[in-house]
Amino acid sequence: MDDTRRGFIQCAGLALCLGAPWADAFAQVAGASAPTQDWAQGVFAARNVREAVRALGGAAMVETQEVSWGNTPDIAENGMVVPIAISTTLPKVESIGILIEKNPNPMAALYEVLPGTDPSFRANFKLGESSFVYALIKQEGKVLVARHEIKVTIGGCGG
Amino acid sequence: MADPMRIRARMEGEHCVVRVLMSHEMETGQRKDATGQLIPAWFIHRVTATSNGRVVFSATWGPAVSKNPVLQFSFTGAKVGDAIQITWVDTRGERRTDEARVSA
Repeated sequence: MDDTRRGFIQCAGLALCLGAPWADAFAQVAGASAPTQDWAQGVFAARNVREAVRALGGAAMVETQEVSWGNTPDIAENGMVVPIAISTTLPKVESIGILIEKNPNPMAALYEVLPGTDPSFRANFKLGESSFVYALIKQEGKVLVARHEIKVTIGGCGG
Repeated sequence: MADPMRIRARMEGEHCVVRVLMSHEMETGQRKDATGQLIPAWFIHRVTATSNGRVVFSATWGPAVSKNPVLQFSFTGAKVGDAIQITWVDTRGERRTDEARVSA
């Protein structure tokens, strides 16, 4: 029953936007591994950095210094809202992942670096407790890793 | 239907810097309600942006993104006045698209 519902939603979504100039984006969104309820797949199923590196196609953890953490804090007073900014000067980057080691679901975000997209992203995240945050930079089949420690004084999990 | 996104897109040299504020609960699936029942995960999972028919941004998010997400990214190849559309899809399959113009 769930399957039919999902199928319906996708069909409806696609039908709605056929012919629209941004139909490409919709097709990508709808086609990309059917997000509904199945989010914990691929790299998002990873329980630690090693699993995430493997899921992204990396053979080994290779460290890189070419990552800037922008205004990502070292100490966060409120774990509910922690800005994490990542940018890199590395060329030919395919994607940038963010993994928060101590979170129940460590994989936090995966940004594709498309032609024209700058390898520089910023968003706010929840940290359950103090943790290392890893940047996973996919570049020509390799996965380069950089890490940054954030100390949290009030956690972002639970109520 | 979720509240509209607030989108600001501004040229900084060659780069179009886009800032987005979305309105979403972003439930992690870790919290419990008053009766001790787990509240199921419900969060924005996919975000894409297009400009001039070209996908300029594509992200997949996990449950760790904060409530009412704030996002910043940038791309090249835009000019003042171009339209930019942002679309999100959450884990319930709900979606929202909003549009803004690139300013100087």
